[in-house]
Amino acid sequence: MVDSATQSGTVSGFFFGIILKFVFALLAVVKFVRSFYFQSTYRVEALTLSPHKTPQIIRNDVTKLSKVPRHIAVILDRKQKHVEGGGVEGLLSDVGEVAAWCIGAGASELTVYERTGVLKSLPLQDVYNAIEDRLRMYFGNSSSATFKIFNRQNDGTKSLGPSAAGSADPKLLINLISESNGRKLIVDVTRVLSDMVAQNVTSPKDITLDVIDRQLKERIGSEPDLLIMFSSEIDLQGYPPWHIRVTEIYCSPANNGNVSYLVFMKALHAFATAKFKLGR
Amino acid sequence: MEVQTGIFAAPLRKLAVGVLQQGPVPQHVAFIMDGNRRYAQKRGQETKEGHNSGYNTLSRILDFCYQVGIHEVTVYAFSLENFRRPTAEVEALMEIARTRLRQICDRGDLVERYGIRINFIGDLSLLPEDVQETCRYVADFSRKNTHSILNICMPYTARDDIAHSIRTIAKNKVNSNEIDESTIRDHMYTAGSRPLDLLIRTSDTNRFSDFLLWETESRRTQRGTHIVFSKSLWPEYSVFELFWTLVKWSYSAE
Repeated sequence: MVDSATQSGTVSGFFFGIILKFVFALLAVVKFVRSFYFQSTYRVEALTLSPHKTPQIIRNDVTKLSKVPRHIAVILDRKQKHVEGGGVEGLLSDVGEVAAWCIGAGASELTVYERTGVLKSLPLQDVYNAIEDRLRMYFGNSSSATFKIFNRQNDGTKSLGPSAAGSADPKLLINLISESNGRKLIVDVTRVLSDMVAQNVTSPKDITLDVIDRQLKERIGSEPDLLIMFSSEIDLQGYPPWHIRVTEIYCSPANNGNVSYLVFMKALHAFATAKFKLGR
Repeated sequence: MEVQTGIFAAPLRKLAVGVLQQGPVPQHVAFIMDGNRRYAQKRGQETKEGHNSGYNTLSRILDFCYQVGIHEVTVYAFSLENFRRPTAEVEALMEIARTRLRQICDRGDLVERYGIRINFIGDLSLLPEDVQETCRYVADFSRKNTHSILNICMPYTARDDIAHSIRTIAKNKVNSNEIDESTIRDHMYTAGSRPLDLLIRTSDTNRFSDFLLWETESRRTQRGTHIVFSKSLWPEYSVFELFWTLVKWSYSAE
């Protein structure tokens, strides 16, 4: 069944082994040249991009696009403490930056996935304040950058919004999620539904896709239109599987964990040019 | 079935297989075969022609996969959403299922050559009666094969599979304290398949489109899933491109 000629001879195996090593070496060279090329074009592009800490410039970048996602998700990593932009501090400033870009671009919902849940374990007020500080650097004290933040727990969500009573709807909703909102949440929902069947509250045939979808949405929000990774390779890291059904996924091989405005803009650009068709 | 060689002539392909076998080989590879219609459009053909070309690519790719020693291949043949396509196109796809599935079971063809067991993943009852019958025949015919596996997802969506699993668990009255991730996994259509090593989607579309959402593993786990978005349309997807993707997988797995 398996081609015997390719498996048998140790002599041919020896030669094939050498060729494979040669191909690996070739691949290493290709990878090196590619990353060098990517990084240099990337630097040039970053230079042509004007300093962006003003909302007008983000808006100018966005007006060229035919459409902008309503709901953006990002996967963020906590970097080691001693590196620049590392630790929880670095993570919080990344969240603040992305939130500012989202508001500037006109998205109305942002989901931040951090696998370990370190953001969710912080006092929500601290996270809120850190984001607010960061937004002030972009928008000043104007009320154009209001937001509401949700700490998504499978058994109940805590939220924090603008404090002034009677203020208008917040510009951006921010969901904090982690690995425990992924497959574990589907397990939790299965338990709830299965208990309901056991107690004759509902019957198995009523557990439709829509019912499950509603249960999951209630707990961690809707499916994002665009998911941005800042790593050089695609890794969902356990992102809630139900929620990436038709999400546009963006990942730049030129980037290496850097939460940069350039990657964000490139992702928006890819989203705008992607053709959306489902099944049809 | 004629195996078209593309740019990879037979001796060259043998060389590629021999080389790949010297390194680690993924055990489970999945394909989203997207781009048949755009391919037909580009060449001014009927949609049906695009799907036929797509089928030829599939047989070429499968042949290479099993030759290299990939144990399990999963293909997204028909999505539940595809029922919304024009009737003529759905019928053309069903016709491919009717004729080609029996054909690969012929003497000396794919199933016999690589000892393939064919599994169907999805709710077959939604298909036309005669297609269901063909599927049952093919599954039955290949049941005893143990060397390789071909999972054909038809008609399938990942959300439907998860929902189907949850429904079955509730129906079986599993004690809710005993439900965990493996319970859900075990009640899915894809239960029993190996961890997914590589997922390849063609036609420059960076989405899962409701395919193997649960099965895609984080790269942080021991055997994470590599996700590859190819720019080629499926009928243009070449053995060489697959070879290169497998080399890359092998390189990072080593």
